[in-house]
Amino acid sequence: MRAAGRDTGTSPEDALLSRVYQQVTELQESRLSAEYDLDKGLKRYRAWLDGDSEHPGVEWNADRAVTELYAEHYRALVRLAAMLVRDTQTAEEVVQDAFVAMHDGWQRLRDNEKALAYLRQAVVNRSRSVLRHRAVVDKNLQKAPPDMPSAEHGALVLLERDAVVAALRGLPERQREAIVLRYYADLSEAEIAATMDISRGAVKSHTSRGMAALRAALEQE
Amino acid sequence: MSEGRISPREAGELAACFRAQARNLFGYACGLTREDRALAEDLVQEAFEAAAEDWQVLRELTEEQRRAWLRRTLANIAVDGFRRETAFRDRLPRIEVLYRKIQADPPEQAPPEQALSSIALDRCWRIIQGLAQRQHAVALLRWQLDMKESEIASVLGIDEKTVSVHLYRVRRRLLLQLGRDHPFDGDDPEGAAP
Repeated sequence: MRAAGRDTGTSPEDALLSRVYQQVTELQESRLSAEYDLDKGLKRYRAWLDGDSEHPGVEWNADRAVTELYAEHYRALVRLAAMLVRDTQTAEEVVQDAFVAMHDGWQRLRDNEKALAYLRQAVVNRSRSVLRHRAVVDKNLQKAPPDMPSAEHGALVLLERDAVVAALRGLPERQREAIVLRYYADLSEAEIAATMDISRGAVKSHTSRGMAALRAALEQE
Repeated sequence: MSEGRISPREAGELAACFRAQARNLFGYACGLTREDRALAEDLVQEAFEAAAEDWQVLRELTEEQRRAWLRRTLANIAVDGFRRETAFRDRLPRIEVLYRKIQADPPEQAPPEQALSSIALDRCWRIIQGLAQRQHAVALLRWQLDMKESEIASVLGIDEKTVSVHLYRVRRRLLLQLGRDHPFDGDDPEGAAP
């Protein structure tokens, strides 16, 4: 009665139908993934993690919230800080300090979006003070070569070429920060404005002047 | 139920993993459940509950490997649901150890296949959505999850002959939809019954 072989092998028809199933499922997947209510699912899952499925929405406490942000954003924030302070070890310290501070202030934040904005701001501010401190204290100290984790994204490779990193160093502080936040941390204009605590107009001018200066520096080579 | 077992650190990591993976996993689940979204949501939840049990292993994996692990686990949980005779949704079992121990192998990448026409796929999807639950389960296990007929029979606890009959019917209906634009139409494939 059956058209094709038993378990002993896969018939062309079975191969075709496997393809049908794979491709049909992929289509559904891309269509329906977008419609998933992530917040709702996450709320339910957190409630389960809290060991209380009867009362979903119980407080997601500071430890857990901060660890979640840590697992998700730590590396990106270290990359950001490393672009600013130019060595990975200091960058990690800066980011860890920012997390500790956020943990202490969690009662006020209580929200992942706000917390991320807070973290970025803290990282930029702390990087700034590291640089000032350094400028004063160890002017004479030989700088180690920049120790950067490599970026995964193709566009970033271009921006992380040594020449660009060197040219970035030559920029004024604000211009460098604006460019790093825009092109390395991939923030929007509004996010940069919030992070640096300046107006959007100022973000625009810092970014465009910085890019012009970078271009000039690179063309000189 | 999980009180004291999951440390705050692990809980945070798991939630981050959820944020990164749940959306796509839900899409995958919808494919398996024929767009029963409520059920797909339950399956996502169950898969991540399983992930919490095995987090020591999972946390060492790459995102891609975690994705494969979650899919495989979710599929197993869904299959476990097919096994029950009565309404699927009410039977979502607590996860059994059997289904938790999954190798974290990266998914095998099949060589790129020529895409089937979207019209044909659309027609097939409509057929699949209209299948009886048992037919759907058998076909899904055979062609989506690549199980042999004998495995399907034992997983679902039905006779192997019954599996064959289900597959024969679904195969015929689907091939009809692909008819005109697929090369095997009208062929008598090798291995056909004499």
